[in-house]
Formats: sequence, structure tokens, C-alpha cells
Amino acid sequence: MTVGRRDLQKFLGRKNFKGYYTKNPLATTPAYAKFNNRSSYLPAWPIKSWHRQGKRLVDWPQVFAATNCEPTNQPFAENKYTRSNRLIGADLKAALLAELSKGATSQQLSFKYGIAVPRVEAVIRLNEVHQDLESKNAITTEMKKMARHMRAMFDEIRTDQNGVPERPVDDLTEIPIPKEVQTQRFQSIAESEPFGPVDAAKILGIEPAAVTLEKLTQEGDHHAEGSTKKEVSFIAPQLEGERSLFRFTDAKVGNVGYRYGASRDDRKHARRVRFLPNGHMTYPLPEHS
Amino acid sequence: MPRRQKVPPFSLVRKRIRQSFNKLNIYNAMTWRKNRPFNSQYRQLFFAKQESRAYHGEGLTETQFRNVFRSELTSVSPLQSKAKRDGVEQEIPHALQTFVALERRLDTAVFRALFASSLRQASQYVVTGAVKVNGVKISQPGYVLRAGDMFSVDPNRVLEGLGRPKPSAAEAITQTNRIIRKYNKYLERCRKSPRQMWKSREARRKRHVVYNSKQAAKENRAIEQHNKSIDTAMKREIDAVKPRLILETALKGEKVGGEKLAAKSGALLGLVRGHLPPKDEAGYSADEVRDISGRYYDKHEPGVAGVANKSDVKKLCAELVQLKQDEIRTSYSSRLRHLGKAAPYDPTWVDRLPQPIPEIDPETDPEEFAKMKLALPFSTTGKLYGLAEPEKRWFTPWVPRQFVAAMAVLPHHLEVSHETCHAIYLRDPVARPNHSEVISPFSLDMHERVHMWYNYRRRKNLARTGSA
Repeated sequence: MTVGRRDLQKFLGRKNFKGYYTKNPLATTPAYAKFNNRSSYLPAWPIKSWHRQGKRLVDWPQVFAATNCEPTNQPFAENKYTRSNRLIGADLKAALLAELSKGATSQQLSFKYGIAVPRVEAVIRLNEVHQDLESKNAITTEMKKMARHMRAMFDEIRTDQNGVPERPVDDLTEIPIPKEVQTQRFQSIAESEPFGPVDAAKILGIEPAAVTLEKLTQEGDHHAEGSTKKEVSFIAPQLEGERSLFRFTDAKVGNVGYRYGASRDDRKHARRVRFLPNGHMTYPLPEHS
Repeated sequence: MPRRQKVPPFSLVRKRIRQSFNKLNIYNAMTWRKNRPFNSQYRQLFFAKQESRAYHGEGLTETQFRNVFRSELTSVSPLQSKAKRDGVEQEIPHALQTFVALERRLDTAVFRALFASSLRQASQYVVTGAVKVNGVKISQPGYVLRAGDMFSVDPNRVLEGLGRPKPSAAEAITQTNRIIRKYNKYLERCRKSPRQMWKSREARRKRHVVYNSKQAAKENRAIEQHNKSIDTAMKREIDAVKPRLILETALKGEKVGGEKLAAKSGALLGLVRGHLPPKDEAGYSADEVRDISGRYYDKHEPGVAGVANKSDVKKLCAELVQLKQDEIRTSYSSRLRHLGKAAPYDPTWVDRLPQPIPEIDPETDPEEFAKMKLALPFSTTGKLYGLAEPEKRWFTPWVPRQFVAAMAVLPHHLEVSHETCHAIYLRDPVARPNHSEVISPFSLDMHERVHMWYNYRRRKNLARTGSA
């Protein structure tokens, strides 16, 4: 047996007579554990230098003996920026759906509960699916048990006595950072000239952040963020002797028509694909792509 | 299609972290160390790329990844961030957006939604037609999801992926026999030292979580019922105690109650006898007793003089009633059972235990087990361990896979409903101050190196390449 494998066996611990690893705290699902709705991630049991026995071996009982570790929502020790989300609990969900049935819009719900509009809309859509499946008796006891176990692994959004989250879940004033501001731009102006964010937006050719936010919070389709581009076109004045009207539309070289000698998308390498409404994948012809 | 060369996914030497809930992967992730000696910048970049690509899009070749890689790093920022208000500048982890293109893939989303136990399994679900996007079956793992797409996985596959692996017939027999042997040993110990085993059984039941919740509630109900019946009997007995009855009992020469009562009843008898004709040791007859008690308690006819010490006797009798009632209360309270207290030792419990169970012959035809009902007292299903419903593809009755919780992360860019096995792709994962929605075990500086690596090697004519 290699050193690595021996260390692995020490890490896992012995199986009990039913085949479960009972000595390893990572093996247990929190539904069985003392703290329900609490994640048990790797950083809760850090391996310190004094736990190491040589190059490969670790004193695992010592590592797992750490009992003062707080439940954390950071799953990986190396990356502090990755955090686990919090679940929308049963009560909060019921409150959302109750207000929806009274006629509240998803924007109003989002504002009241501090949850982003797409998530509120998703909860509503998933509830419709749930009701549909339940009416068909398609949700089995095993599925319910599985869902209970999966939900038990995560923290829930904590609410106050009014049923509203204690802290806002999402920052509703968030806007995508425009590409234009990620690069440096120099503009020389007089020292006495006032210069604010709106002026900066003008120079960069972008709209002020307040306008973007207003657009995002307006009712309608929130999923197509910045994907719809306004087509700019104009009809040129007809000059004397011309028999036709010319219409000019903004276009980017490479996106329209063919350039002589340009490669077509008929290579196997990095080929563009399109999915038909029935789910079949096709390789569209260049003119349709 | 070009396939990536097959490498051992959970090598204990390489220690690559994968998108998987496998126990070996948990071990590798826990013992993984970033700090390795580097002697050149190229090695730093290559190490960062190699380690992170084993986690992000392990099934994609370098070419395939370069086709979807975009060098722009996008982020969101609050209009007026809390950090700015507080005067603390929070860093936006832009570099963690390096692998954002992979998070749009259907197989990654299925894994992130915790419908599969690994990315490879999620890909298999897609390929075998178990995954639908907006109600349409999609069989390409690289299908690019858009904001608002709803995807669903066949619940049977999810139960299979997240449940404990189903044992083979041979494994189930071995396991069942192991449990039988253990149970037979337990029976033997119980017969040898019943009192000790009773104690340990009670202690074990108290510790047991399931017992504490369900079984204990059941037992508490039984205790309440028992206490209620005791209470009713006690009240009936207390109500039956009357001063006249006490007097008559004393006159008959019968025992009224305990020591305290005996002394008082003697005094009562003395008081009554002082006004009555003396009697021999045999005491009074039943008629005489009724007559004497009547003198004290019946309404006497007008004109006839009553007994002189009537009030004294009545007072003494009332005291005796009080004492008698207290005595009854004390005797009943010892019979009450209290919640959470162990049941009294029952010496006959060993007799009710079954005889040792014969082990299952491993040579038996496995198909027979589906029909036969095993007499296993510890099993509610009466089937082989893990094969309660052999036609299903997971351990039955369903129990969760071990080691899932250690690396299960609830994503911010998906809204998941496990009961229906449906999820909605809210948006592409974003980076915001001090937070990245792209889930990665690697640090920001490693992602910066990876971005440097792929930015140098990126495809320049992106408008015409990549999937739609």
C-alpha cells in the first residue's frame, strides 16, 4: 500500500457494519447532523503544520478533533470570493406567493423582500411547475426525502418577525460595469471646468448608471440585458437623376455579407451551431448564422 | 468529436480537484496545496492552467476551451456600494470570470444545480436524454444556456446520482449477513446479561436522533395515557374517602391507613368509646357500627339529645380524611411515569427477543430474493440490505450519498427546486465587489495566471467562431 493510500484510509476512517463512514465528519449529510441547515465545508477543518506527519501523512483524528469551528458558507479555503447561496425558506416562499396571489407584481415583491427580480420570477415559475407535478401525483416520497436532505445542507435566508429578510438578499442597485470603463481614457479639460460622472458618461459614450438601473428595474424582460441593439438606419436623400432610394444601415465588417477570400463556417474546427425548436443541433449555413 | 485523453480522475499523486462529490476528490481537495516551488514564470502559468482546467471543463480539449474562452472580464457593481460608503475599497475578483463561459454549458449547470454527483455524470445525463431545456430534450452537454432558461432532469436519474450507490446482489448478501451476525451476537449478549443490556438499550435509544424525534414522541403519548389513567383512579379513590367511612372502619377494628393514621384512629376510637358501652376485643358488629356512626353523622330527631363529643369526633374524622387522602396521593404519585425517564426494567424482555437468525446462503440464486421475504426483525422491508426495491437503480430505501455536503455549493446564478428536479438559469454568473458567482476552489491569483495564459492564446476572430 502506498503512503497516499494509507493516508486516504486514515482520512476516511473505518466503515461501520452498515458500510457508512462514521468517523469522518465530512461524510455525514447535515440532515442527520446536530445542526440542520448548516453547511459543513472543508475550511471548517484546516490542516495546520503540526498536523502533518512527514510529507504525505496527516494526523486526521487531530484535524477532525477541532470542535470550535464555526459553520461557514465558504466552501473552499483558498478562494474567499466563492460563497454558497442561501435558500429561500418555506415561510418566505409562502409569503411571496401569497402576496403574488393578491396581485403584487414581481417588481414590488423584489423591492419589499430585497430579492432580485429574476430570482422572484424563478420562484414563481418553479412553484407553477411544482403545483402542476403535484396535481399529477408525480412528486414521489423519495423525491421529497431527497429534497429535504439537499435543502438541509444549506443555510436559509433569515427573516424578522414581519417575515421580511433581516438583511437584503441581493443588492437591487447593481448594474453591469460597461466595457468602456475598463480601459483608461484621457481627456484634457480646464482646471476650472466642472467634471462629474454624467460628464464622464458623455465622454465614454455610455448612459449614466442611474438610467441603466432604471431600465433594468422597469417591468418587462429582464433577461435580455444589453443583448438587443438598436438598429440605426436612414434613407439617403434622392439626388437628381437617381432612380432608387438608398437605405443605409450600420453594420460591422465580417457580420454581414461575404468578404472575398474570407473563410466560411464549413470547417469542423470551432464550428458555429444552432439548436432547432425541437432540440436538434444543426450547423447553420453562413448566411443564417 | 475530439475527446480529451483519459486520465485517472482521482489520482492520489496528482491530487487534481474535480467537479465531483467522490470521497477521493474530497480527500484530494482537502490535502491540495498551492505552494509548490516554481523556477520560472512559465511554470507558474502552466501550473495554474493545469490545475484549474482539471476542475473547470475537464472534458474539453484545449482547442475546445479556447473556442469558448472570452478574454473580456465582466462584472457588476452597486450604484453606491456599501464599501464606498464605509470607506473600504472592496476588490472585484475579475479574474474569476475566466471560466464563466463554461458555467453557461448545460452539463455544468446540471452539476451546479446539484442534480448529479459529478460533472461527468451530468454530461452522461445530457447525452442519454435525461435533461430537458424549456421542455425540449437536449442531448448536447455543451448547449449554451441563456438567462431565463428552465432545465429539468429525470427525477430517477437525480435520485440515482445523489443517492447511495446500489449494491450488487452479492454485496447485498454479504452486507445482510454481516448485519445478521452482528444481531445474533447482540441476542447472545442480551440473554447472557439482560439487565445490563436493557440499560444500554435505553441509553442508546435516548442518543438516537430518529428515536428521539419519532419513537420518543410515541412513547411520550403512551406515558401521558398511563398517567391519565392513574390520575383518574386516584381521584376516584380520594373522592371515596368520607369521614363517616373512616369512623366505621376504625370502629370495625380494621386498619385505616399507615402509621400516622393508626395513631389518630386509636385516638378517635378512644374518644368514641368513652361515650359508649364498653365492648370486648372482637369489636362492634356491622349493625352496631352503622348505628354508632349514625349517631354522629345522621340528622337526629328533634327532642332527642345527641352525643356530647360530636364536634370533637367530627373534627378528628376530618383530619383523618385529610391524612388518608395525602396517603393515597403519595402512593399514586410513585406509580406515575415521567417524560424522558427510562421505562422500568422488565425482566421478561429477553423472552420476547427472537431466536438467532440463520445467515443467507451466498450460493442462492439472486432472483429468488426478489420473491422471498426475509424474517429480519431490524428491517421494515424484509428484503436484502439496500435492495428493498431491486428494480430501482439506487439504494432502496433512498438514503443520500455520503460526502455530498462537503463540496455542495448552492449557486447564486441558478434557482433550484429539488422536489421537482427543475432549475432556472437566472443569469450568467457575475463578479461583484468581494464576491464571485463562478464557483471555483482556486484563488484569485491563480485565476489571474490562467487568464494570462489563455488571453495570450485566445482566438482573435471571435465573431466567426464558437457556438451560437
